Amino acid sequence: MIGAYHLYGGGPLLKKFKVGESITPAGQFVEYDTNNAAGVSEQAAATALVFVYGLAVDTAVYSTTQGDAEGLVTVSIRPDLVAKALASGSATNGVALTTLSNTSASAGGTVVTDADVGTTDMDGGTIWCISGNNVGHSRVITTHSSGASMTVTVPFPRAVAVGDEFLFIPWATIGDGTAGEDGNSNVQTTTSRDQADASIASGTGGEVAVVDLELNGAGDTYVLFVVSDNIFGPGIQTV
Amino acid sequence: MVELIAKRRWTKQDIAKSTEHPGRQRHTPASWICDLTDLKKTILLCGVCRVKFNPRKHGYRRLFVGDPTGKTDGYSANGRCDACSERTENIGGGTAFVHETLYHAVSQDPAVARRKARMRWRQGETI
Repeated sequence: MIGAYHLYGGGPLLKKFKVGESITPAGQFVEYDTNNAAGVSEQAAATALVFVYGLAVDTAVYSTTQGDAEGLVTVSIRPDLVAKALASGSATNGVALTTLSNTSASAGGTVVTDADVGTTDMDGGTIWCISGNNVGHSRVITTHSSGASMTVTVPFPRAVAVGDEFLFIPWATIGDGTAGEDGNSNVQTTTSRDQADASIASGTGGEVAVVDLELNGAGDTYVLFVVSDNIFGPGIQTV
Repeated sequence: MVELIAKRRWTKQDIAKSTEHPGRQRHTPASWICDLTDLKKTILLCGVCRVKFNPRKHGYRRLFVGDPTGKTDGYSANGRCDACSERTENIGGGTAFVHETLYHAVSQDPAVARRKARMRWRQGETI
């Protein structure tokens, strides 16, 4: 992921930190982990973003061998950093998002039917049309019927025809974090920590505030977010 | 004599400070920068030191982070200068250089962003 911009403007503030484990690839959040207390670490789990120092803008090699260079990593530490992560269709990097091909017409423009919606709860996420009458329009998902369909409350402007294609992600820019309205509160990273896993349920993953979405195609859609638990954030927090 | 032992409550900021790398120590500025370029590390230079560094020669590009307020051109970054160790905000502002191999992993490329935006506009996309 990359540093897209800062909410309050201005440029990044960079610091070089000692590392407690090797940091690779670049473009992932680093954090404090008591298991690697010699310095900063990669995220302990893709599902959590805690004690975050910031976004690593290079890589580092950790070594405990005398005579080796001390590992250090450059980190963009401003807590208002808006990170931009590519949405991947699985926990592995670079997997295309699932494309839905509508199998049942919806004259009211509120239901997209396809077994490929899967069983993972996307209620609170976003669905958008990439082929058909509603191309270019997006809506928040309000009902996810497992393995059957997705429903939106605000209808698409035109009827959803059979064969129309849609993409969906578990994130949205609005919500309050409660079930069904949790698309804006969490992002789970991929196993290599530098992309966002779009195959997980809405409301799972590290705590963030989703700032923006760049809804494009299956391979170039992005989620932009601010990490909630940044140690340089407001307030003095003890550990 | 009575000794009072007060338990220190470490803050996250204390831990952050303890893990900060001191930067250049026994090196000359040039040798430290060479060490960093050999390891493809991101380099931060102040306004004075920046002119002595040739990024192209070492395969580096300027880090770009957009600025929604428009106060900077997006190529501004601050911190401790890797050459002179002074805070860059005290010396005309800083510039960060990222190795070419890491550039697209950590930096927005304004030329690519503009090209994509123009392409979308031509295709009439509205998202």
